[in-house]
Order: sequence, then C-alpha cells, then structure tokens
Amino acid sequence: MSEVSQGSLFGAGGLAPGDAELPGAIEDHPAEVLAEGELEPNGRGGDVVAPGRSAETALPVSEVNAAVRGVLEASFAPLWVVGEVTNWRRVSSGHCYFSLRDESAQISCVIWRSDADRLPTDPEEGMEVCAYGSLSLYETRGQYQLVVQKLEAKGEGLWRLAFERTRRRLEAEGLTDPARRRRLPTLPRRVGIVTSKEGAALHDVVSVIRRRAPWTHILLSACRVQGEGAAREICAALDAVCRHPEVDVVVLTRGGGSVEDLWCFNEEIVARAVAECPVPIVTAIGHEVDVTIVDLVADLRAPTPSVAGELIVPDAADLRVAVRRGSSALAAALRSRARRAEERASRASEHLSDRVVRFVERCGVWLDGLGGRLETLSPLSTLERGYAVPLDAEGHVLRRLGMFEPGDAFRLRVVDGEVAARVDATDGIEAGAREGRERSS
Amino acid sequence: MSEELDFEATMAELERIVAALDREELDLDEALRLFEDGVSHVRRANRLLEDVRGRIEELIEASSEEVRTVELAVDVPDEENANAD
Repeated sequence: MSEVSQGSLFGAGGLAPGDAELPGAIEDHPAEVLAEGELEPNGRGGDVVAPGRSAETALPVSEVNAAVRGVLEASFAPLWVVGEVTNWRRVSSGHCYFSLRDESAQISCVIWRSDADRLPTDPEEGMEVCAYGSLSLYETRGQYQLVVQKLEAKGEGLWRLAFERTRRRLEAEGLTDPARRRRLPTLPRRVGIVTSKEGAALHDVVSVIRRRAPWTHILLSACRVQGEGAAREICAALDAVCRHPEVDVVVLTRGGGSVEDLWCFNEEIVARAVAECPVPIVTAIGHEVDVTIVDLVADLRAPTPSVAGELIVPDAADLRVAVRRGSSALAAALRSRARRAEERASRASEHLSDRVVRFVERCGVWLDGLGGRLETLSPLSTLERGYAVPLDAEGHVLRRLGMFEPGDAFRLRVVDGEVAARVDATDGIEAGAREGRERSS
Repeated sequence: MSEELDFEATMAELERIVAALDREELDLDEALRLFEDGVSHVRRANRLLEDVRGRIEELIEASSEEVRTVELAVDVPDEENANAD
C-alpha cells in the first residue's frame, strides 16, 4: 500500500531524509486521497490513472497540502535546528512566530503559547539559537515550518537576556538603588525564613542561628523554590511571614541549582515582592557565583545560606565580650569616681576623708558581690600610691593617735602585704615624719 | 524595669550608667546607687545570653485576621557553645 501511494503521488525515493520514518503515518494521508478517487493503483485495474497524473485526475490544492503535511510530519522525528532568529513576533494569542536562518537559507518557525510561556524572555533579532521541534506544513499557505517546543540560546544567552531586561526595568524604577537598602537589626528577636521546608538551605540557616544566637525565634514560611508556580508561592510566603508582628528580619534563601532551578528568583514579581518587603530582607540564593535579580533589590545579599545566618544574628561570644567590657567600664567609672572624691577629701577635711574610706570599702563589697566578673575595687589603688593602713589584731583601722600605745604591736597594710610593727613612741601633729622609723622587731 | 527589657536596651542602660558615673557632679551615695543598678544590668545581660531559648516554628496560616504557627523540628546540633568564653 505504501509503495503504491509513494509511487503514484510523489515518485519513488523522493523522500530521502525520512525514508526510515516512512512506514506508519505515510499510509494515512495519501491512502485517503487514493480512496476518495476510488482508484485501484498498481495496475490491478489496468486502465485507471493514478490521481494527479492527468488533468482529469488533478488533485485539489488542499489535498496536496494535506498529503505533503502528512509526509513531512511522518518523515522527520523531532529535531534540533541551529540558526539566527529573525522577525520574532509574539502575537496577541501568545503564540510566537519567527524565522531561523543561516547565510543561505531560512525556515519559518512557530512556538505555540504553552511552550512560549516557558521561555525566560523573547530572543533578540540575530541571536543564535538552537530550536527543538517538529517539521510540519501550514496548509493555508503551503509553507513548511518548524513547530518549536524548546528554544535555547548559545550558552545561557536567553536567561542572561531575560535577566538584563528585568534588571533594567527595576533599575529604571530605582528599586536597585543602594540607597534603598535598610540596615539590618543588630539583634533580631524573630527571624522569618522563606524557603522550602525540605531544602538544605533551611537547615543551614537554622543551624547557624542556633549556634550563634540560640535565643532567637525562627519562623519558617514554606514555599516551593523551583519549578512552575514557584514564583507566586514565594511572593505569598513572603507576604505571609511579614504579617507576623514580631518578625524583625527576613531571609529568602535556596540552595544551589541550575540556572533553570534558580530562575524563579529572577522573576519580576518575586523581585517586586522583595523590594516591597516591610522589614529588612536578606537573600541567599544558590552559591556564591549565582547572582539573581532578587539579590539586587534586597537589603543585603549573602553568598550562601550559612553566611546569611551569620549576617543576621550576632555571635553570643561577641556579646559576652561586650558585657564584660561594660562591667569593666562600670568598675573603672566607680573607681575613678572614688579617686576623685578621695583627692577632694584629702584636700578638704578629715571628716570627709572618713566618708571616702567608707565609700571605698562599700565599693569593695559591691564588687565582691559580682562573683569575679568585675575587677576587684578596694583601697588597693590607694595603697598602690604609697599609703599604708595600720590595723590592730582584729583588723580595725587605727585612725587616731590615741589608738596607739607605745609598745603595742600592730600590722601595717601596704599594697602587696602586711608589715608587723610596734609603736616606738607617739607624737603630736608631725607624727607622719616618724612613720618611716617604726620597724618591726 | 520590666523583665521584657531586651539585651540591647540592657546594654544601653549600662552604658548610660557608666557615663553618669564618669560625671563629677554625682554625690557618693548617688554614685553607689547607680553602680548597684549597673551591676544588676550586667547580671541581666548575662542571663539573657544564657537562659533563653528561641522557638522554631512554621507559619501555617497568615490571613489578615490571624497568624497561626506550629512547632517545627529542625535537626540541628544544639548548644555547642554554652561556655564559649
């Protein structure tokens, strides 16, 4: 049957490229043509003429086109074609029409809407692309065409082009302006994370936050982070997490993947949702080399999910250092306050300097109460400068001449220890001059 | 002072106290009282770093009226740095 139709309509061997594909579909169309003509080819009728072989059996144009279309579609398996894009147009129905050409030839191409919608963007005039599709014939015009299902530019050309186009639009609106970037809170109470519940990114961010600042609350707003519909889910998840009144900062994150996997983070609706985020937002998409559109509008871009965790919360160890520093400053402030009072007192009256001694003693008690966190403040600083304190056996300070009896033993507290001493003699107001001569036995 | 006082506010208060102590005009009793305050802030700051443990939750619904969450288990190594001093 197939041999017959081939012979009658198109001549034997006329379909070189598709020979292998001939059996099957080829039987349908030409066979119908023959059936309509009620012919018995291959000489069984003897006196009948194959359709189209004479003016009497001329075939209508539509039948020829339908037959050629059948042959064309059946003869070629889907194939990749490389060439330059020319005359690209996307019509209101969403279908795209263009031609592929090289130096000497061109092919008409069409991409139906369902496939066209998956393109990151429209190619530019002259862009070299590879198109994958099936050959067919547009019967109305008798024009053969490639019905394209996939279109890829050299390298990542189409993705890059889409990226640049979106970037330019956002830039024109000022959304990528660094001046728009907000500072992150230094110590967030609750971190909102927008990512997939299953991904490694969630685990990475949570681990780092837990390690550095375990008191931080974490709120996951889960969404898909790749594939069709992911962009819309991301926008919804972002919107939802920002409704929580205590979220101070948001991180939008995803682990590494191919350009296609990460593509939703280059989509304009996601970029706009990020730009409109009411609280500061950090993005961490893919690996360090992957820069996406959302990174350009975020308040901060982290190279990886783990780094995002580090940028969002401080390290508890650093905060402990800050507390220690604060407590030292507190002790130092009190000490210098005490010293000022002491200096003023020694210039003024003995009555006041008693207050100073009490004050300094009280300071010491307070500082002891800190359990070693603060540097000990005691009269040591006074002793350091050469003052000595005489103490009796019970540790009472011997303040007045009347408390010393010649021959009494007492202790002299100096900065690095005590000296056993005995009263040699006492004297009136210039007693200070004799202190140096009092020696232990 | 409320228990809600967070770390940053606590540290800011501590700084304010240190600055006040550095001023000459305070009399000694006032200075000691401030110091006592400062000490309690140091204690509070340390407590905030050590005691509290954040919750990990998943947002399951955020309509305009309410926000609902559930506890979320994320398998992470817990508390490896409690004494990182």
